[in-house]
Parts: sequence; structure tokens; C-alpha cells
Amino acid sequence: MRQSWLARGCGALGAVVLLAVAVSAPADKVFIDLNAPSVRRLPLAVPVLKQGTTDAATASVVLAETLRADFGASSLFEVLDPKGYLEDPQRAPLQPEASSFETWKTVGAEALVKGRVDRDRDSLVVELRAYDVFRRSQLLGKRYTAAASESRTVAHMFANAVLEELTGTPGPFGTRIAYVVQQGKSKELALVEMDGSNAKRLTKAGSLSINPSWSRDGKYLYYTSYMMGGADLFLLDLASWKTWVVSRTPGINMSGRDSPDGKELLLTLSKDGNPEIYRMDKATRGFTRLTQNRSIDVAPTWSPDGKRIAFVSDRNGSPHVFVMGRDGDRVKRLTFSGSHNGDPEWSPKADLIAYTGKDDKGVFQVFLVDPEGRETRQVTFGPKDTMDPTWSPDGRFLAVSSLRDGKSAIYVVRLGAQEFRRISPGGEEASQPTWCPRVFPS
Amino acid sequence: MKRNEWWLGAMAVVLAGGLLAACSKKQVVEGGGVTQIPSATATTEAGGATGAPREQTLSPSSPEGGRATAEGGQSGAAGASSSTSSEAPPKELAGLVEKRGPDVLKPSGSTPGSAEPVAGLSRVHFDFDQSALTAAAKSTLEKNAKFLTANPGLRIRVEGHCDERGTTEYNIALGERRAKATSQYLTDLGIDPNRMGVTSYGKEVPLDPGHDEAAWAKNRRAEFVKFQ
Repeated sequence: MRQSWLARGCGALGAVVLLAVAVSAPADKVFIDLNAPSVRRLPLAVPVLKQGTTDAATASVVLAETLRADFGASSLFEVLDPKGYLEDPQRAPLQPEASSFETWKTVGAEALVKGRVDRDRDSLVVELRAYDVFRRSQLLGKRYTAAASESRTVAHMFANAVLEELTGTPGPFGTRIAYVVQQGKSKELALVEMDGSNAKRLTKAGSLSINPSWSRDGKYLYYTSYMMGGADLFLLDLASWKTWVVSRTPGINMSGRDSPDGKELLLTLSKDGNPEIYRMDKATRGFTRLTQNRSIDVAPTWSPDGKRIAFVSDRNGSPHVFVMGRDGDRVKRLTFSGSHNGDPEWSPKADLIAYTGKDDKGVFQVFLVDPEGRETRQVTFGPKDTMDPTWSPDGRFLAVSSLRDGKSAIYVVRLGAQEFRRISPGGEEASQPTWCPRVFPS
Repeated sequence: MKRNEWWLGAMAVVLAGGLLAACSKKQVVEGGGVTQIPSATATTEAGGATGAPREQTLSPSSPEGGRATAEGGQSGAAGASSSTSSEAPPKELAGLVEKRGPDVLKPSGSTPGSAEPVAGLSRVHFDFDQSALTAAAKSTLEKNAKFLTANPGLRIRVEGHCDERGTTEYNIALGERRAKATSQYLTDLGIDPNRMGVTSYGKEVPLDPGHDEAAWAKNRRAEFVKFQ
């Protein structure tokens, strides 16, 4: 068993020890429970990268700043202020010597991420390494070749790899979130990275384009648009910029939830009189109706194993979250309190379903319930409505829409922390986020 | 190893195992390997409303790796236009999407609020989370029925709306229920149901953009627009 470098220093309060070795995972991996409440953040130094060539100066700064932001957003690290660093990154060798580790220890760093960047015309060669300062050992080293414009991408990939090394699960940095933005009287689809960078409009249909949901491969967005007059289900191909009709039956056509294997699609259609949930075979367009009653059945979401479906029904009077088998069998009610529960989203690790409900003051908040309905837990707090939860692909974060700053905007919340980071551009009225299920890049 | 450490270990295994299964294929070549990242920018043609090819600032070649360029800025000029394709869908989508592109069909009322309200028909309002018609709503609909009887050539679409409180899909369903209750009452009063279509906008098109009870009461409504 390898001693975790993170284990040290966490025993000071006698609270949580992070060390654990997974039996089923690669023998050398160290796992850390990120959701443990009293994890001490590890002091991390990320100096500007060593520049192999003078024209790599910008890239070296962008790389370091992106790495600091990513590691800081994770619950694992406390990134130390670069102003306090003693070592000149341009003079120090890439591989720290013993004295160098001592210098970093003086600064207070227990972990160190450093690297070197060389520019070759329009491409970058980036070498990044993570070190345990106390053990003076390298934890991870990688070399990347990328277009000069991709320095942020490289930083995200390395941050994701470090998180994978430490916890067994890659980080989500660089992943994207689609959402709905108000444009005059219209609503359009937009896209932004999870750190709020690179916000883009995806549609300009001049209609209502709402309720987006990603295909499993991240190539398409299902969404409902009124461009034909009613609520019809469309698909936007992000490669060709073409839109296609998925379902245009009389009445409501919405949801569009890809099965985990990508072969089936869940839809909500009201063609048979009231909204019911259907499963469609994507190869044949064969439909199977999963709900059969006179009440509202909407908002289906697959379990990660594709065997169960959570959904919303007001069959007992007011809308509540239910779960059923993939054929509509074994229906079980999961929520019992509150007068309005909706937007269920099954977590990537299957153990929780996030949903929108009301707190005891009648304010909409995000809650979690386990798939057996044993226990519910409130995740967001505050005087303003917060809703539309969507999971990051690693299950560490939720994106939500909230009125907390007056105007509806998209925020990323780390599970277990009340830290809201707004990611939709200021000035936009934004709602209905949906997190791309693919870790960037694949 | 202490007892609580074992417990944490077990939790961590569940965490890691579940997430690994849910994640996409391995992103990077193992330790020290070289990862090639494709170039970010690409130029595509998008059939805009104007029909003119435009340069896009998103990289469509690899959506997972597809990146918005820094030059694209925050406001984002990129975007798929409203027009859709009438050509055959790509093979990968052949089973999933309709063969017929919607541009061969006549769009109607595509811009929210652009449909012409019928001057002689008054909107009706609903109680919170209710689709049952109030006494006031019934009284309004009786007047509306008289107007429709007096204008037999008029075809209308009943639009159901909700206030902002509530979840997206449920509100679309509730708005449909309101529109249908409204249309049914007009039918009961003798109006030919074939003269009436029904659409729900959920909470997406509020009459009053406010976030208070007065705005919400206005926004829980059914509207009557000319059917095009």
C-alpha cells in the first residue's frame, strides 16, 4: 500500500483521514472521498511555467492561471498566492532539486505543479508535473502537443488527470453546459464552459428554443422549439449546424433524453390526450408508452445503468418525483413533502437524484433523494428561487439556474459547499442548464 | 487501518467505481505520454435565414474537443439559424429524425407574441397550480363564445400559460391543461372544436416580467390568437 501524500496533514484535527486503497482499482491508485465534510485543502503552488522559448510567455501564464483556477475550484487544494513564491520559475530546473523542495516547503506548499512550455510556430509543447513536496516525489507527469490557441485545454486536461490520479475520477474541467437565454421575446440556446469562459449562442431562430438535453456522445442537443407553432422536439447537430425534427405529434413534444447506451430516447408526448412518457428506439422510431394515466407525467431521466427512469407526475394531486422500471413497471414515489417537485436528474454515480422542490418558506431549492426514496437532503439555500439542477459528468458539481442575484443566471455549485459561481455572462437572463455528459476532451 | 478509514475507503471505491463507469473513454495517454489536440478552429457553412454561408466560430469537427475560439468573444456571433434542412438526414440520424425537414412546412406563430390576438376575445386567468376555470373565467368565456358565434369564419388558437414558479416541463403540461379546459368550455358552449387549436407555452412567455404575486396572477392565463 502506498502512503498517500494527501493523508498527511489531515490528521491534525483528528477528523477525516483520506487514505484508502481501492481493491478493484489499479493497485497503485489512491482514492480520496471528495464529499467528506472536513477534508483539509492541500496547500498547492502553481508557478508560471518555464518558457523554453520567449514567445511562449503568454502560454506559460495562461496555463498557470487556468491550472490555479481549476485546482482552486476542486475541493482538494488551496492554491497559494503566487506573490509569495520564492523560486524564479525561469531559472529553476524542471525537476526540482532537494533544495528546491525545501524552498517550496518554506512557502507553505505541500503540493507543487510546475511545467515547461515550448512554442514551435503555431503549436505548443507543454510538459506538466505534479509533485509531493514533503516526499520530494513526482505524482504525475505528462507531455502535451497542442495548437497555440489550446493552452487552456492543456491545463484542463492536466488538472483532470491529477484529480483522477488522486481520487480515481477525472476532473470535469473544460466541460460545457448548454442553457437557454432570453433574447427579447425569444429564447435561444447557448453554450458556456463550466468556468464561465467561451460563452456562445447556438441558435438564432427568433422563436422559443427551450429545455435542451445532450446526446450521450455530446454531438447533438435535443430541445423543444415553437418555430413550427407548437411545442415540437428538435435536434441540433453541433457539427453541421443543422436542426432536425425528432417529434412533431399533435400537442406537446419534449424531454428528449438519450439512454446511457445512446440507442433509445425518452420523450414526453401529449398526443394521446395528456402528457405521457414514451421510449423511442432511435434506429426504428418505434415507440413504447411507459405511463398510463390521466394525470401529468413529464420530465423523465435515465438511471446510469439504463434500467430505471425517474420522472414527475401529479397523479397524487401535486407534482412529485417517481421512479419506474424501463418498461414503466415498478412505479415508486420518491418525494412526499412540498407542493411542487420536478426536474429530476439522476447522478452519474447513480446513488442520488437531484430535483427541484420547495423549502419550508416556499422558495424553490435543489434537493437530493436516493433512488429508493429513503432520504431527502436540501442542497441549496437562500431567499431566491434556485432550480433546474444538472450534474457534472464526474458528479462533483451541479449547475443550476437561480434568481439569487435578481436576474435568472446559471451557477455552478460544488456538492457539499454553498459556493455559487455564476457562469452565464452578466446581463444575460439564463435558465435551464444541461451539462455535457462527456468529459472534455475525449 | 482504523475503522473509520475503512469506511471512507469503501465510500471512495463506490465513488470512483461508479464514476469511472459513467465516464467516457480515457482522455489522455498514460503518464508521460503525448496527447495530440486537434486544431481549434474550423470554418463551416450554416444555412442562415439569409441563405448565405457564414463563418462559424465554434469548431464543429469534434464536439467533445470542439472549442470556441478566443476571438469569438462573449456575445457570440455563432449560432444555428432558424431554417432547417429539407435534405435527407445523415445516416447516423436516419432512424431518429423525421425525413421531411420542417422548412417544407409552413411555420406559424414562430416568434413568441407575434400571433395576432383576437380583439373581441378576452384572456382568462387561473389560480395557482390550477387548470379549473374560475367563475370569472367562465363568465369571460361565455362572452367569448358569443363573439365566436357571431364571427363563424374565425379560427383561433388557445394558448395556455403559467407563472414562473415551477419546473419547465410540468408548467408546459399545466399550460396545456389550462388551454384544453378553456377550449373544452367553449366547446360546451356550442363552439365547433375544429375552429380551435391548443398550444402551451408553459412559463416561457410571461405577460408581466415581474417576480411578484401581481405578475404571477397575470401570467397564469389562456390567450386567444388568430389561427394562421
